[in-house]
Amino acid sequence: MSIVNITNIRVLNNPTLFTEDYQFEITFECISPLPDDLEWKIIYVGSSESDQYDQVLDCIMVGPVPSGINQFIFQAPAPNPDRIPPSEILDVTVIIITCSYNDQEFVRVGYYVNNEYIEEELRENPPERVVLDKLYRNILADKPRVTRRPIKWQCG
Amino acid sequence: MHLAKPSWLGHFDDKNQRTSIFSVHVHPDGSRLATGGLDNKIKLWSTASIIDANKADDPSVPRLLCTLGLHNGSVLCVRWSNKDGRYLASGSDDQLILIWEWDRSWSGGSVFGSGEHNIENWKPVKRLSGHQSDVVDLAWSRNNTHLASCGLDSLVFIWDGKTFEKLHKLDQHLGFVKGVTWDPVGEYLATESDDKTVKIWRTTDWTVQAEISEPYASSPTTTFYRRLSWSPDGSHVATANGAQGAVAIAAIFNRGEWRTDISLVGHDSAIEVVAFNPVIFMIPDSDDADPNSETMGSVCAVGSQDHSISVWVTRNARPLFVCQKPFDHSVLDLAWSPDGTQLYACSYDGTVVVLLFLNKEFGTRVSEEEHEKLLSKYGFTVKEPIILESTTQLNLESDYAIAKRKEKSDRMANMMAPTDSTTVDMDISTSETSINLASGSNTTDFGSSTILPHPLPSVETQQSTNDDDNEASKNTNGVSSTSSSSTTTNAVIPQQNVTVTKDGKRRIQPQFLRGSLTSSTPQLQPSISSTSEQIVVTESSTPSNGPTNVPTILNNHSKSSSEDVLSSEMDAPSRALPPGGISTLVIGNKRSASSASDLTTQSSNKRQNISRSQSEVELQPSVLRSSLVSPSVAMSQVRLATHKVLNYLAKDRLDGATLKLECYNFNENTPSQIMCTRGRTTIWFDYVPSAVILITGHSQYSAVACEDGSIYIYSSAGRRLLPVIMLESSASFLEICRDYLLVLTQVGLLSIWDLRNLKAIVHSVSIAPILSSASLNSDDFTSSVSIISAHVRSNGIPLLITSTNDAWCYHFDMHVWTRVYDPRYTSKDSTGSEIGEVNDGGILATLENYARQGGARNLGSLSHLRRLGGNDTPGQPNHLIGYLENQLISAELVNSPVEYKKLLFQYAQKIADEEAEYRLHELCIQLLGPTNNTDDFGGRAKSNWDPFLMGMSKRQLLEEVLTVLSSNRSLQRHVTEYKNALNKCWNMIGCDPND
Repeated sequence: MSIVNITNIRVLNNPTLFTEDYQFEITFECISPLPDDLEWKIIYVGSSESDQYDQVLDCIMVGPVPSGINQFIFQAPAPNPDRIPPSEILDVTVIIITCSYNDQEFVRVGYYVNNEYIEEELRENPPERVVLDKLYRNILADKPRVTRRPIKWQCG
Repeated sequence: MHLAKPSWLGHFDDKNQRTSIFSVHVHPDGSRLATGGLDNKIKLWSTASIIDANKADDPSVPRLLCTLGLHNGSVLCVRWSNKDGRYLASGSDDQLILIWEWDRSWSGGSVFGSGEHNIENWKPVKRLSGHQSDVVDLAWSRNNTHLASCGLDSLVFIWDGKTFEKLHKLDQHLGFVKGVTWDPVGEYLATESDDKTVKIWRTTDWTVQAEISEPYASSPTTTFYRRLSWSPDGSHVATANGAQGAVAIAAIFNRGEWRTDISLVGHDSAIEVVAFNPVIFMIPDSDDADPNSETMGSVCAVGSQDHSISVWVTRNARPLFVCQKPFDHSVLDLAWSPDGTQLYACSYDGTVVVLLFLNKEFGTRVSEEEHEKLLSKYGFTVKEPIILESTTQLNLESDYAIAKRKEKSDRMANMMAPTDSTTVDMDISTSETSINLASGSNTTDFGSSTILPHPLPSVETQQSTNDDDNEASKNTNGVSSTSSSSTTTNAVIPQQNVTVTKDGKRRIQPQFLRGSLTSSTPQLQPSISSTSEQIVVTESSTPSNGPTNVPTILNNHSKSSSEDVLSSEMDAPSRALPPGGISTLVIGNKRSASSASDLTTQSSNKRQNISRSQSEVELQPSVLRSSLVSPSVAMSQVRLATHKVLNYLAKDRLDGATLKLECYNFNENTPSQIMCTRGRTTIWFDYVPSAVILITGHSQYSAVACEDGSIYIYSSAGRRLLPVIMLESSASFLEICRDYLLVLTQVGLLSIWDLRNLKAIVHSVSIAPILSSASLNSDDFTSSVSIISAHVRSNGIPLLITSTNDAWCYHFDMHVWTRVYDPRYTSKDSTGSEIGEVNDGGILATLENYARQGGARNLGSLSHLRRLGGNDTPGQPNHLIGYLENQLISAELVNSPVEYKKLLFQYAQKIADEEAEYRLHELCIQLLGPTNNTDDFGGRAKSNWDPFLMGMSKRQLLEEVLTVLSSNRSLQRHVTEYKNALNKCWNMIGCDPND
């Protein structure tokens, strides 16, 4: 099993405007001290059809990690809408938080994200061009999907 | 006998299909059942709802208590620790053993990402890696001191039951090891393997005592397990998967002769598991004439691949009862409840069956005491509790308990310190984080405005970010249509410590919330120490006060290290020394030709340059020229680098406030100016004929060293205390502390003067021993050891630190240099250093920190010796003890009473743990001093024993040391003896120790 386990992730600003930063308060437990840093990434899945639209919103190293329960806030800018196929900006997509150690990904947490208008009028007659500053996103924060995979923790 | 088979109990895969259950075990308190399954999970069930169908339907009684889903492979074995059941050990396909513990600090709830709801929150506390294949079976020794594991890598591992360190690896099996069991007496361990042997290992030296192979010769290797079991009275071992020809048997062999006496015959296919009932019964003799006669006996359950379970009682040739095919597949594990009335069985078909026996179905229970007596007849005692011999010990023990509790609460307070910190310093962003977190924790509901658009600025100062954030949140409120709440409810994103790593990635230091269950305290330390490191890093990477000019660097330096400096009673180094320290040369050792020629070119220049890194650091005060080197340096065997002549020198905060000493050097033939200022007022100034190269001072005295080897000493008013002092060469170090002025000259001679009494404390002592002894360690001439810093302690003792991080003190009475700190004992891994934690803030701790940070040149590290203690050399004097002793003397030498005291208690604790009697005597006698009545009667002790040590009463110390020593009862005779002697002493001088 993994030396690092995510015990909780709180989505701090949710729901919010599409253009706002993502903020996750990540709590994880480490059962023995790690010599190297953990690398965390937030990936926005731009399209359900191809991974070429996946955007890495941010990538950050976390360390030093003492054993015990640790917490940090991972903040990342909103995805660049120009790189998302216009037809796929609205509706449900996925945002993924991954964590790697020594370039080996050992955990991946996926959330469904719903991008929608709040105003009734826009909802019923969505304009041709997406009105970004009226678009809201809602992360389905209570339904994370966690995938763990075993990696080599010890070097050598 | 009843049978229950709850349908709701099971492990289910993604498609809600029932999957195999490989292992069951009952908690020693009988209330929980652990199961391990193919779905990689461990489940804890309430036994109440399994046994009682009424309770099972009662929604208020939980069925499932906890799901532990962190294994990456099928869970092949689950075992609770004995007696208190504090730990659950699990072995899995993923080659790991996990140790789980109930985390009561967290009242259950849903598990992140799994949707499962836990009532009890069991968390992994240890991860034991070592097996290279599936871990198949586990066993705790009867008193939980050891955990044994075996696996498909043919190995058996023995782990410490407390620390979970790997103690032994037994590798004599030639095939999969599929079962392991402990002798209840603790003398042996038995393992059964696919190499068709059962091996009996002696726990004293882990060699094979016996090997039984005959009953297994024709056994199939198609069983999942060969779970064997030792009888509770220790007399027999029942083994699985035996075969007599084609007939499956469970072979039982006796202790001592290891001969198969009995075989349990009747199952149709191979036997997977046998399990003795943990209770010994008085079983009525059925065939005897006398109905009241009964014999002591054990009950054994057998589970087989024929889907059936049989239960056997000693002396009966037939099974007491057979449960025919309660399962659709092989029985894989059996577990008795601690009271011996329930037998749980699990099967490959994914179901669990419990057999409930009536109270006297087997016979009357043999009491625990009787049971112990039975075991004791084997004469192998693990360790008996020690009987109290006097009340003194008891009193001391209660003192010890109180002291311990206080220590703990102190620790707790320390642990909480960063969170409670009210001084929100600009630099301490971690404490900021926690405060803000607390205030922001209630703002997760959707209605309130938790929108925070601003990215986390990584290099701006704290102050401006907060402003930004506040503004930003105000803005958001204006924009956000749903928001009605005021700004105060906004969640403020805590400031995180963001640094940039070498490869350009941003790096956040996580906020440490708390340690893991078992060992929370030691881990906290590194996070704190590394925080302070980080602060320094951020500071220097801040553009506003980057490393552009020297005064700023000095400020930063003194700010970040001011605490260290204060607590260690050291004067801050008068200048930022280069990382490598001051380079030195030692001539006269065996040197290669090339290095010798190297030297001549250097000395023919008649100049030695200070190391390059220093000139890089001090860019701003421009270098006028290299200073002249006196001819004596060329003659000397030891040469220290010379400071260059700078046009400006300054030393700030001499009195901790605004007092400042400055010095301007001009070109040759113009006298140098020295100024002492407070704020903008000049207190005094003076001119000296030669260029000034070093300045130092504090509120009382100031001193400057000149290029020509002269030294001027001033009082606080600027009066020259002495006429010019002339040294044989110019100074390389000039330090002052209290009344003591230290000068280390270029030729490596060290002097210390007492300025108040105008006396020499140390007169021209050569530092050659330090350099040569240290440089012998490396063959490379150019990397000869340099002096990183020279200090004088408040008691006048010089303390030199070399680039190898050795620290040296001069022993006044012995007239020799003594090494007070050896970096080889520094553990790189700061978490393992219990010493560093305890001595936080003291001089030795500072040294240790120093060594840890700059340990680039650490020679072969001996730190493992210190951590391992005497583990690998049992019976040998413990390395840790030696280390502590060394530290103790060092603390005494460098006059660090606080550290001395802490170390002393650590030392006492170690003595107690190791039962080091002789050391105990030495320590106590030293502290107790002469107690001879006749000596003391005259009011004058004949010996020159000093009752005080660094201002602490030795006997008072002894009082406390004895309290610590009392933690081990086996030392009670000695402890009581000294306690009495001590009391006698107190009475004699008519004083109450508690005053």
